[in-house]
Amino acid sequence: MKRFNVLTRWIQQIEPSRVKKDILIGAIAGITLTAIFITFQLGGWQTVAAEPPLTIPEIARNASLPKTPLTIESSTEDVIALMLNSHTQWHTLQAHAITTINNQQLDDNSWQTNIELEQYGKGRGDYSRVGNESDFAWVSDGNTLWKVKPTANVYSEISLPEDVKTLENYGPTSPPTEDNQAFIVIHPLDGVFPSMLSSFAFPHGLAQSFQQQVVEIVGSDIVAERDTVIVLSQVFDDEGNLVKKHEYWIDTDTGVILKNRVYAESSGWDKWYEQTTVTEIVYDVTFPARTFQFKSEHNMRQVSPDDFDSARINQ
Amino acid sequence: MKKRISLIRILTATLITFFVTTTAYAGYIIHENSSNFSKSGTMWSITQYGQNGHAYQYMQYTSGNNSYSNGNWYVNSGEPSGTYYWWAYIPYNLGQSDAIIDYQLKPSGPTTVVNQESYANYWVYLGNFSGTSSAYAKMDNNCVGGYSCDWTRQVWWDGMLFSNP
Repeated sequence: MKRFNVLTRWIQQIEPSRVKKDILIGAIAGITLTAIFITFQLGGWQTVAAEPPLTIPEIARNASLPKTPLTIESSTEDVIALMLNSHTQWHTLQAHAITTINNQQLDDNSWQTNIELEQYGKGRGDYSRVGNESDFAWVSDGNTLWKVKPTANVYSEISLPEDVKTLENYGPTSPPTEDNQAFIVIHPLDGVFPSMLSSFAFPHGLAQSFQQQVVEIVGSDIVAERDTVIVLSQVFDDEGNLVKKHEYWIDTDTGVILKNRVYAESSGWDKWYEQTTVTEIVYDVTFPARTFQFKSEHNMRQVSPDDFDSARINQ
Repeated sequence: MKKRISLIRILTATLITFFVTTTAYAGYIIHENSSNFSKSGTMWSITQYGQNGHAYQYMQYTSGNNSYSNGNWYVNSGEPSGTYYWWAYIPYNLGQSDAIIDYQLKPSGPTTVVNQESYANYWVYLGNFSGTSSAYAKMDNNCVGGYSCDWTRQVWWDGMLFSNP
């Protein structure tokens, strides 16, 4: 009863204007505290944000360029560092590759890819069944990306995102989570240039995944007349079951990927499921200016990116 | 007594404001099994793998094989305008080859191609764009032009991390 009387008296003493004033003071104090928190990076996730590099140039600088060419005696750290710095090892690149899928259930098992790249931001390429006309082609002049579907006589035009136009500007402002979960910042052109060979020419995302898992150098080889080292990457789940197995042939001078094999349980872990092999590659050729200019054929129709996507090739 | 009560009110308001503003700054994960995720078409619920112990999985859609499936991750309503940063979580797979798919940041953001086979249990950065409270990310099981594709490959819808610092 005594407690009840105290509570009643306490409620009677509450003045609405005073309550409003206190809440306002508290809100201002809370916002000020947040500003201090952010400015001085006092939070756990903010502290993490200040540590890891988050753009491709920062990530590359963080991995010192090894002595090249790499050899079979090189460390995996050296291979990873060269891959992370691979964009500094060539200016232009022209390549042709064959992708083969080892699955008898499929009608089309072999595809060919052509790509021509000029850093930074220019590129063109195409993709087709082996021996057939191109099913899909694309061109980028560094500002605009055109995608072309020759068989449907349609193309779409997409402005490259502002942050993608320069390598230095692309990247997040902080890591994704405060508890330091593993993350990958792929090379912007790997995600934007629509080609099987984009992640070969810009292997930064794969190199970051190699940094965070167990990989080993298992041999050396020659691919497209270039010396390579072979890297085996395997991922196991929490119960120790193999869930991913890949092999990559890395150019010993440039860090570019020249061949890969993807294994799957469905094909048996000892047989590759998909293999992409670069059959020809030339670095630092001079391309004519028209190489990266788009000119539509007279019978081609421009469609929106969404309409182009809905007319996507579904093999 | 009055002063003590006033102090308690100020402290409470300070802590609530601080909590709300710092949480908004840090961003949040849009889980695929939350009400902020909408899906259409077939998706299998997987509890063996995935961020937060869950993911949706289906197979790649090709002519005559499988059906079209599509998932959208929406930000909370009332999210303020600003620059939106997006990350997609790529989980372990089940031993089969995973698909190459594209994530589209809507309504006005970039499209980023990600090879789900290349990564396992990573957040992959998808880019940013200036947007409004209607922002969402979209991913379907279509083939992506320029990349290998077949109906036996797995497609995964898992957590999407969004921040608007």
